[in-house]
Amino acid sequence: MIVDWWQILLLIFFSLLALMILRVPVAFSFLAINIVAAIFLWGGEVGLRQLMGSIESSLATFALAPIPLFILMGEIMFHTGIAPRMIDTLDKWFGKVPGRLSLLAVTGGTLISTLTGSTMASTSMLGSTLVPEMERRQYKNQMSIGPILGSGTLAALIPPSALGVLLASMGQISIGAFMIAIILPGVLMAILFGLYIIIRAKLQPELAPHYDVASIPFSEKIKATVVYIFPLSLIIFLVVGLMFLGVATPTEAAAMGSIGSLLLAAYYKQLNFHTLKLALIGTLKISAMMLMIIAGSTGFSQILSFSGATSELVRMIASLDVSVTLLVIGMLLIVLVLGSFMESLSILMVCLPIFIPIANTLGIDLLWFAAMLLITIEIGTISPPFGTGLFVMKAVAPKGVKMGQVYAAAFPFICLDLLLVAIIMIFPQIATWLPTLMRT
Amino acid sequence: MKNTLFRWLDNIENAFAVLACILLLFATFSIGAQVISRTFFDYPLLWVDEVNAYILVYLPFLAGAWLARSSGHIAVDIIEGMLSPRLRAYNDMLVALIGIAVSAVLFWYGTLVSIDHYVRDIRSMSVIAIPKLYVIVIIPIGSLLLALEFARKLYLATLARKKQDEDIVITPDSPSLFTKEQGIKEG
Repeated sequence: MIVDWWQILLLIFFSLLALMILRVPVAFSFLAINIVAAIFLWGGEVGLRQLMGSIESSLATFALAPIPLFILMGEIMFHTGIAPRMIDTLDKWFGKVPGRLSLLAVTGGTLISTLTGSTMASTSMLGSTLVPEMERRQYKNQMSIGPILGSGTLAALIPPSALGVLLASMGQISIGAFMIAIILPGVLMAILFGLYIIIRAKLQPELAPHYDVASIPFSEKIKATVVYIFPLSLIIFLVVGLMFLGVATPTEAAAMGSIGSLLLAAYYKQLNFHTLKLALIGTLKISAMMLMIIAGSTGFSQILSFSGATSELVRMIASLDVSVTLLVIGMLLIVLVLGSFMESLSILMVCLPIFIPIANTLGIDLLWFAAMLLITIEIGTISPPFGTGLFVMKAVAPKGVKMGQVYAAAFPFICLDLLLVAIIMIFPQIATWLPTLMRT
Repeated sequence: MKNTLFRWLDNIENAFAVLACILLLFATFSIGAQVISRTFFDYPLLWVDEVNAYILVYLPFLAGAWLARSSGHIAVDIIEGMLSPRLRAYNDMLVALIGIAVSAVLFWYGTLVSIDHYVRDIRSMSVIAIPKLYVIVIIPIGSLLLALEFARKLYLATLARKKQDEDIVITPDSPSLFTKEQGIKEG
C-alpha cells in the first residue's frame, strides 16, 4: 500500500482534531496520536520505546524552565494581593482624564504584565480590582469590560511570558532575544488602547461619565509610589534587566524574578504558608498542564517530520507563486480562526511544527514572525465564542452582564490587536530592533 | 472497599503533588543560588542546570493524575453544551477509556525503557553522570497513577449513566438531576 504524504498529514490532523473535539484532553489527544503513529510509522515496539525517549528529551530541556518559574512569579503576585495596591497607587496619580478608569485598566494591565505572564490571571486581577469602581461610576460595558479584556492580553506580550518562552523554544529562536523583542509591541499595544479609550470617551462621554476626583496631597502620592511602585521596578530589573545585560539566561532571570516576588510579598507582610501554598498549587496546575502538552506535542512534531509530511508541505508551499507577505497573512489567519474555538497552547502546538519550517524555508525573520504569531494567538483568548479570557471576564463582570455584551465589548480591542499586527507587519523593526541592542 | 481505594488514590496523588511543589521551590532557589554563586563568587554550580531540566520531566508526571482528578488537563469544550446528560455520560466514558489506553501504553513502555536503562546503566553525559533511570522512571510511575485515575473516572461515568436510567424509571417527567459535573466529580 502506497500512501502519499498528504494522506498521512490529513489523517493525522483530522484524528487529532476529532479527539480534541470529543473532549479528550489536549495532552492525551497528542499522546494518543503519537502512540498510533509510532506503531505504524516508527515500526511498533521500537517506535514506542523511541516515543518514551522523545517524551523525556522534550521535557528535560533547561530552556523550558522559565515556564513554571514565570508562572510562579505571577501566582505569587496574584495570591499576595500586590496588584490591587499597585492599581490603587496609580489611581492617585491619574487626574481628570477622559475615560479615567479605563485608562487606569490599561496602565495597570501594562504594569501587571511585567509581573505575570498569564492573560487569565491578569484579566481576573484587573477585573476584580476595577470593575466594582467602574460600576459605581456608571461606566458602560464598552469602557469597562472592553479595556480590561484588552489589557489582559498584554500579559502574554510583555515579559515574563510563559507562552512566549514556549513559542521561542519550539521555534528554535533565542528565548532571551524573543523576550526582549515582544516588549515594544506590548508597549505599542498599550498606547493604541489608551488612544482609543481617550477618543471614544471624548466622542461618547456617556460611556464613561466624568466624576470628581478627590485631590490627594503630593506627599501622599509620593509615599504610595515609593512603597508600592518602586519595589516593582526591582522585579522588572531582575527579569528584563538581567536578560538584557546578558548577566542571566532567561531561566535564571525567571528564578530571580520569582525570588524577588517572594521577597516583595514578605516585605508587604503577605507571605505566609497559606498564600505560598495557593501560589504553588496554582503554578503546579498550569505548568504541569503545559508540560504534559509539550510532552505530547514534541513527539507529534517529530512524527510529522519523519513521515515526510512536513518537508513535502513546506516544499509545496515554497513553490507556490505567492508573495511571502501573503503566506504570512495566510498563516496568521489560520491561527485567528483556530483561536475562536481552541485555547492558545494547543494552537501553538498544532501550528508550529508546520509554520516554523515554512518560515525558515522562506527566509522569514523568526523574531518578527513569532511576535505577530503571539499577538494573533492572544487575540484568540478574547475572541468569541470560546476565548478563555471572555469567560474569566464574565465571572468577574457585574451581575446581569450577558455573554453577548462581553463579546461586543471585546470587539474593538480585537480590531486594535489586528491593527497592531498590521503595523508590525509593515514595520518589522518594532519587533527586531530592541534585541539587536542586547549584550550577549 | 471502594471508598478505601479511592481514598488511597487521593492520598497518593496529593503526596505526589506536594512533592512536585517542593521541587518547584527547589528549582527556584537552586537556580537563584546558581546566579549568585557564578556572578559573585565565580563558582558555577555544575549540577543546577541538569537537575532542573530533570525536574521538568518530574513535574507533569508527578502532578498529572492529581490534575486529571479535578479535570485540570485542558480540553476543547465545543460540544460540551450540546450534549444531553446521557450522551455526556457516554462521552465521559470514552474520554476515560482513551485516557486509560494512553496511560497504560506509557506505563508499559516506560517500564521497559526504565529496565533497559537500569540493565545498561545509562548515565547522563555530564560531570555529575546521573543514571538516566532516575529521570525516565517517573514516566511509568506517573502514568500508572494516571491510568488508575482514568479508571476511577470511567467507573464514576458508568455509575452516573446507570443512575440516569434508574431516575428515569422512578420519575419519568422530572428534569435531569445531573449537573454537567456529574461523572467527573472529585472522588
